[in-house]
Amino acid sequence: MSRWSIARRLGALIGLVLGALWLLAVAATTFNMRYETGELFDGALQEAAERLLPLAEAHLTLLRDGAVGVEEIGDPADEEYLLYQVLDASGRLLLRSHQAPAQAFVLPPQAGFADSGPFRIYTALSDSGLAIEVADRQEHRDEALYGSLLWLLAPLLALLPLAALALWWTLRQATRPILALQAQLGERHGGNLTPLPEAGLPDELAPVAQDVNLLLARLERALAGERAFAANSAHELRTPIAAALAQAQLLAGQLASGQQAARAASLVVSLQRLARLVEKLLQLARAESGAALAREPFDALPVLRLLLDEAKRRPEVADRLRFEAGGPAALWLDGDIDAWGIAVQNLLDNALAHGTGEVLVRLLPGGALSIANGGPVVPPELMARLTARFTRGQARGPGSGLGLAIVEAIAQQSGGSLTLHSPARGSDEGFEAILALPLASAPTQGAGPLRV
Amino acid sequence: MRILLVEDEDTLAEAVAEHIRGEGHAVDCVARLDDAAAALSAVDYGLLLLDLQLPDGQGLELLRRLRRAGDRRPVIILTARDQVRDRIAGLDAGADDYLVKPFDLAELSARLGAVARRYAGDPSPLRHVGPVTLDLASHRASLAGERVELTAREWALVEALLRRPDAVVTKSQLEDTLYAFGAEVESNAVEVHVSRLRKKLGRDFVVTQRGLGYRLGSGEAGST
Repeated sequence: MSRWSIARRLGALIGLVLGALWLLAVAATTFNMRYETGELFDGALQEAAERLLPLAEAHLTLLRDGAVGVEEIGDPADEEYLLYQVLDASGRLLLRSHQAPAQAFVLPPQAGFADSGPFRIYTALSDSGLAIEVADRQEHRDEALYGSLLWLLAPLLALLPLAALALWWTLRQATRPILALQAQLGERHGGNLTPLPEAGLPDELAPVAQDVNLLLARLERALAGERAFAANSAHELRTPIAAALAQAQLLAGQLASGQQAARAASLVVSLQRLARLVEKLLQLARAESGAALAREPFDALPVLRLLLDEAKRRPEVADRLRFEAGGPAALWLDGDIDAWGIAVQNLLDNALAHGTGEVLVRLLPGGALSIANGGPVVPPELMARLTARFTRGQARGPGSGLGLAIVEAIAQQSGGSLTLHSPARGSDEGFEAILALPLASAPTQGAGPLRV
Repeated sequence: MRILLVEDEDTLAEAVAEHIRGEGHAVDCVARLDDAAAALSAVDYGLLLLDLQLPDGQGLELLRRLRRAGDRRPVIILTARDQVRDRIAGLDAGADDYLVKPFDLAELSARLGAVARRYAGDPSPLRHVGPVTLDLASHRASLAGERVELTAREWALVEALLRRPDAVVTKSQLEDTLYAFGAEVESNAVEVHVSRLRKKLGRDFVVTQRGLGYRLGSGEAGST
């Protein structure tokens, strides 16, 4: 479905309706004015005829010779507005104004109004049988009408762009609460589920905000529940697995040799694998329940040292892990310390499990963490799938296939990034993972130095 | 070494205790913080293995109380809490090490040994007593280059003596080290183990201070 805008649709509709009404009003005005001016002109015509008739009669009585004359009043070049003809009872033209035609307007003369050609005529009859026909041109009437209409409509026409501007501004004002609500909604994400402000919202939007707030509250509860579940199940699952593993190892140690000892040994291996898988699943559950959405400044260096220290205690790791010293004295990041720890732990485990040779841990300029290992180049088609769940470097290699998916989820939620390179940068083999989180400004006080 | 294990999950506590006993340490198990505090005030434990979530409170509280009271005994936390924040809190409270469940028993042994050696002031696992060389990490002993097998009890006795290389250790201190509460102790158990040690590592390895106790032999005890 194509997208449309309330403001644009409203503007178009209002413009259309107003325009139509305006045209209707213009038509009605034109019609009405035509009628009114016609009446006015007719009145003038009638008045002129009735006044002129006795004068014409007197004039003709003075002449008495019955000669037909042409009134010569004023400059013959001037255009006359009113034309008249005086006729006797037989319809003979006795007298006319100089621009009046030589034929009678209306024959036989009949009292009242008549239209003939371009003329509007009024005929008055005297008792002595004389008739006077006074006419004016229809085009004069139209000129007057259109002149008035022009003066009436021209200013309105000039106001049209102004009206459009006013309409646009009004719509903007009216849709402002919608845009504000939209901006507020845009700020909401997994880490910010605070209710939308309901105060000051118009009646149409207040229920929307209320419903969204109900939804946000439900979402918040669901996420909190999921987080609590991830945290609690961590404890509930780890302890029995620890007990089973310890008992199995004890058993394996007590059985000297033979089939039973082999069974006990494979039980230990299975339990160890189960323990690793459960740990990764718990980490994934944590990551997906939004544990990494928290924003709190923390110094990442002590955490990194702690994790490196713990990794080095594994005898098979001690000589392979190298931390490039000489970096900054502190690395303040804005995020969740536990989530960052999980991410780094996974990158370390990944490099140690899938890489060969030395694992080099470096802080890059800009605060990103680089963990690089040797080993064959990862094919590009596999690189693209590495951050998907249950993808392993080697088909049957160690590991759960969840590590990089966990790191990716954490990096995304933290507003940071995970970049993978193979071959490692500056090398023609190996693998390098770069984890970047938003930097925080070092707090001047508050979080004290961590003793790690 | 005598170790106090504070853990409320019986199956786990039992397996851990038996494993550590197998390495020659004496282990007492308690499941509650108040029992742990009582045991700590009664016995001079060499090390404390501490779970964090216990029925009557948080293990970290006990640890903080101990450290505030000036108790410097090594403490290793065993916990299901794996988050970085928890680990930092544990180490800040004064733990010497932090082991997340589930853990390998071998890993626990390695951490135990490392912490104990750090407390003896020498993180190197190698000790020399005259012609005898002892590797505390791998539990290997050799006399003049020849490998000698020692039992778990004999190792425990050696480690107890090594902790105070220049001092005399009394017989009852050694008994404390070797046997937990409730264990049946033969009156001459220490003498029996000492004589076996002398048979394996030479007469001069352990010197008897009549009426006082035992100390390591004339060869200067030290490390490489």
